[in-house]
Amino acid sequence: MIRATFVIARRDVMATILSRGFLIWLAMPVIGLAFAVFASVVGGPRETASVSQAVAVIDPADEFAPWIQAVAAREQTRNAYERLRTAHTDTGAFARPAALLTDAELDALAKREDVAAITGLGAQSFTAVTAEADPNAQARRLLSGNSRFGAVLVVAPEAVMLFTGDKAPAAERIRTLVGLAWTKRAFAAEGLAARVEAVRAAQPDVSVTVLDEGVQPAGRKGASVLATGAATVLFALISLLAGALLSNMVEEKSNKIIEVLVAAVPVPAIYAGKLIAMLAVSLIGVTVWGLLFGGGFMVAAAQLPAGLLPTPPRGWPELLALGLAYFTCAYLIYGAIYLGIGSLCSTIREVQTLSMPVTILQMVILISTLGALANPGGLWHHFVSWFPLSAPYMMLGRAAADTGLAVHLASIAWQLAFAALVIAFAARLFRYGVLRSGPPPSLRQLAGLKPRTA
Amino acid sequence: MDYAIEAEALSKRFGDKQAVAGVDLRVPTGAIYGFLGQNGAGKTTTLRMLLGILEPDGGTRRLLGSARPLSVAARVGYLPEERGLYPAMTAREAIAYVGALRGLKLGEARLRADELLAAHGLGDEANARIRTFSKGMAQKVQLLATFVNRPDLIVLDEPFSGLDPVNQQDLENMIRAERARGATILFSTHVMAHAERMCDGLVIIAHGRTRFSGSVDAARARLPSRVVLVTERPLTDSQSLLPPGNVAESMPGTGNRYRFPLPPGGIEPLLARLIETGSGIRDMHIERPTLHDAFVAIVGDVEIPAETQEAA
Repeated sequence: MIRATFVIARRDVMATILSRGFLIWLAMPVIGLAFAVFASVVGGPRETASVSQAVAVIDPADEFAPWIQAVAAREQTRNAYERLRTAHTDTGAFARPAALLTDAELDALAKREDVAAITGLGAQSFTAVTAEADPNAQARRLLSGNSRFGAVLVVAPEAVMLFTGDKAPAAERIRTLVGLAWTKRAFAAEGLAARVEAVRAAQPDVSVTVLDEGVQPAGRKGASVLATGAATVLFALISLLAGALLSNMVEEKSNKIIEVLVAAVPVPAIYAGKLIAMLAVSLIGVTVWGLLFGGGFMVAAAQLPAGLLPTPPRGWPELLALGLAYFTCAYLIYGAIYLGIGSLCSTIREVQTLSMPVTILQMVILISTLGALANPGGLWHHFVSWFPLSAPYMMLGRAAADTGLAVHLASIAWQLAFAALVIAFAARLFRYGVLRSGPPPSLRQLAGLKPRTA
Repeated sequence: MDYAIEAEALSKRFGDKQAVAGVDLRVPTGAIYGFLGQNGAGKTTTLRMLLGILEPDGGTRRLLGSARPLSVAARVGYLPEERGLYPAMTAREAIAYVGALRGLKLGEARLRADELLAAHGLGDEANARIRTFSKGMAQKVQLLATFVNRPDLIVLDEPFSGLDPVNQQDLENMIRAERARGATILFSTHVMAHAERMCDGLVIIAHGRTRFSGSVDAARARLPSRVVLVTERPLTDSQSLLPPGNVAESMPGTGNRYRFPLPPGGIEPLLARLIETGSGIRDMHIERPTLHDAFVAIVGDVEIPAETQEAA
């Protein structure tokens, strides 16, 4: 049976690879991306109003501008620290929560290379501008034309006015920074700055104790994003690639060659052969696209500061290996189901009719998986982890977060066994439903528990 | 005697229809057997059950000694009634693919495909795609694919349909060559001439049941031979000399023609009496029934439901 499986797989692989459409299929994602870029360039707005983070500060008293500049710089350092802390572990240099850092600590952190690299990305800058006689008119003039400023702050003794143009940064963010700077200046004027800073630094850190397996500390958002992303990417690949198996048996049935196959080899070998062939073709596609898009992503990621991208707890090599394993499992499971359903169809029209319910089923599985990933722990989390249709997505998500390798190996074994069961079931259904041309058998007959009577 | 195929009381029901109601079939090893029946008699369903494509609802079957037909698939060649090949494949690859499915190594299967194509006038088309072939050529490629694994048992479902006379003759020669190699052949057909010329034995089914099994001669012997008598003058008063069931046929210019069953005692006594009447015998000969006649008679016997006939 194994030999027959590979004879059929070989024929299908060669037939697919040597077909005229294969190169188009392989190039389609690249063509799609190129078209999207082209459309955004040609069809997009002519004047792109990109946001400018540069804010001009008109301070006739020349007294508030240094405060807002210092506060803005420290808050950027605090944000950079928080992003690095999320990506890294919660220990060592990133042990303290960002909210508890003092000004002195923030000033020291600003000198770190990794922190400075992040604060340099799109940093919001407050530039003091020499005040003219009419600050409001000056603000309007600064924002007119092809200005480098996105907003202008006009400082009065008891008020601050914000003027924004078409490239305005978020006003709320500026409002918060102004508030912080105003408060700090007030504390300093009252001689309370040192005491307030001491009180702030003395706030207790809130420790987090994880009671449920799989629950990540609040600071580990990066792993959660990675888990959701991994599950979604796998879902997209399976949706794009496995759907082709719905119509895979129609060729044999319409060519009438199915009888030659069924007379020569067991039906499960036909199913397995076709499944392996399409898996091999899909892996070729995934490899090519992975090299193209993955290579591009790596080039882009190399330009980003170290530590900005979340690192999977198990490391990228292991996550990619598990991704490949779960892709294979998901493809075999869904492919076997699609092949089984599709083999009962005689025409492409019937296959098309079945496509929508299959797509809906996939969406339900994805939503369930993402929900379970977002709410780790509990019965539903475990159910989705082991329910065969959601297990590949869910377990890859858990691999991106963190789960023991033994659990993954057990899950992969279970998923492969389930795929084999589906193939056997689909083959039996095919023999009854298609070859016998008779009434559908009962579930017990399909399971081989009850012999069919004449 | 060794049998390549043994089937007993095979039955199969599709929904409300009893497609096969009890077929018995035995094909001796090394023989060419014809499997005859009307349209819808259950021939294809029976062949599919023999080969394991369908599971019978009842009865037993053994193919090359095995109750599991797929276990001996490497020793079997099968041409289904509904022909089919992958259109994008070349003739050589299509034949080699079937060989590989039947257990040959792909390299060996390709060599044999080349040999078969060359031996049957398709050598120049070995690398042409099936989609470029005429229907007859594609059918011939599939026939060659049936023989590629040099099977011990060859099952052909309506192999002659769709072939021109030259290719029909070629196929007859191929079947005989396979038998000479030692293979057993079972084929279904509607064309009695092929069965009459080639078969060592026949199985005739009607309404899903075996109605006859035996040699071609035995099938023809199911009907009595008929005597044809042509005289110068009408027998008129002497027609009573002829056995019961005689029929007079008026044929202007060629004399008076009479047909009647061959008498149990032969024609010599009758001939002597006819000479005495002086009716002017021009011709008198015995016509043996054809297989066509026998088939129609055997199948026609069951126009009434089989159960009723058996009860009667």
